Amino acid sequence: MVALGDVLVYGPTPNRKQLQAINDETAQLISWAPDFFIGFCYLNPKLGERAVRSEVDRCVGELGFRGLKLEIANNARDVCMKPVMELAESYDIPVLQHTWSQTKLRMRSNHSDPEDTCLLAKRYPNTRVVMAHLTGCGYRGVLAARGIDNLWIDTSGGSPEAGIVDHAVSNLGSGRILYGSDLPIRDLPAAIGQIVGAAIRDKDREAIFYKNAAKLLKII
Amino acid sequence: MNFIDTNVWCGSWPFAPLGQTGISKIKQPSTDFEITEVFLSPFDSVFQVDPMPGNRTMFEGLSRLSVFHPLPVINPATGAWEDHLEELATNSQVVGLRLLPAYHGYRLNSKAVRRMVERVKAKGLRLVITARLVDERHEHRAVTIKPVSVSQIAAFIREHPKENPLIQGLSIHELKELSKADGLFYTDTSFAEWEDTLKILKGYIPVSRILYGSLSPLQVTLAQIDKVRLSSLTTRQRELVASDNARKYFGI
Repeated sequence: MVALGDVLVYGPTPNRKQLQAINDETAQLISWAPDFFIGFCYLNPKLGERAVRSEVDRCVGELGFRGLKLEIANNARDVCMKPVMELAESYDIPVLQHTWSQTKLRMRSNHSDPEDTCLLAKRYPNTRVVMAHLTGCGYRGVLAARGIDNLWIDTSGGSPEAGIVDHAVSNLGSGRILYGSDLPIRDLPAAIGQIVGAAIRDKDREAIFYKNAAKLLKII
Repeated sequence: MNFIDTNVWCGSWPFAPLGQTGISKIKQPSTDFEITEVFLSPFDSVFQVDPMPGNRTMFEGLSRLSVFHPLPVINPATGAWEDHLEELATNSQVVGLRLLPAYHGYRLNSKAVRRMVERVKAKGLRLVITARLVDERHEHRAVTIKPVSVSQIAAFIREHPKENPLIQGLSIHELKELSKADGLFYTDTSFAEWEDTLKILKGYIPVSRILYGSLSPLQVTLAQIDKVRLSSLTTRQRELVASDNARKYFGI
């Protein structure tokens, strides 16, 4: 299970100390069950290159985290993403970017639309990008993600809306989709049931539930 | 475990490729998931001002299918709602009526609603209020509908203390807020979600007032079933939510 941290506990733009506290909590979780939890280092790119580098070196280089997690401090198009993506490439770890369709939200200055996250992946083709929240990205997000080889979408976010997993599989192939629950703010059986209950093949489900993430995180 | 689904829709939905959602098609998933009975409403009545063409089409399709209970839509914002109520009440299959205030553009404290509540009560029918059908963040660009607010529903249940409406489509945060209101209501499981949803929800609302509702075909039926089936509640509590509460509430 990928542990992302209590990312919004201090609001959308945590300072260095707050970030460290969140990531320390994730490290503690990993220490309790190191064979089960995989830590992702939570970052605020707006803190600048030096702060970002320092926290990535600490969490990935020293604590063994295996990915970077980005929320709503900034938009994925912003220039402050450059050091984040370069560090991800140098450590060979994926970047998970919170993404939600802005059709109704209109918070794009700090909130990434699917097209923003897709652009990020295209700008850094050597870095693996996970666009979080399939249900939030919606049909527009699935269509934006077509043909981007270093981009994956996770199934977390929102109620188990019908049709969206099926649509993603038919447009992107099951190899581009990762299971995500968004625990604890979502119901685990419902998150799993959204995939089990989708009109897709068993081998697609197997890829979504385990194989794709295992490959992405280099577990197998 | 048998389920009575209190929140199922038929007809076509314009904003997502949900496949065939006609009555003959939704019959199959019902049997797959041990859903023994279903309360069904027509999508056609959501977007049309006059809900009756959609209601009538649904009645025609249901005439030979005993597992389905029609839950027709009534629109008190039209001048003909009293005639519609008379027509719907003559159908012995109808045990309740659905209100869609957000989609039909009226408030629950309007004069028409007040009058309608009295008339509906006199006919012994239940009122089901749909707060939302879709997460408003995911609505189509053309749709500017906002869900029915908790404050509006709270005022309604305070004004009609004996009505006991079934409120569908509220999030777990909204249900927590509504549970503080001075008045009684029932709710469904369609939009309530948190880790172990029912365990959290029963902290706000008695289990006896929670009914299973899937919002199928807009949401994945299995996901909604498993929210109840795999919850940490006792078997008896899960049975109440899955079917017994609905049976008692609608008197079926």
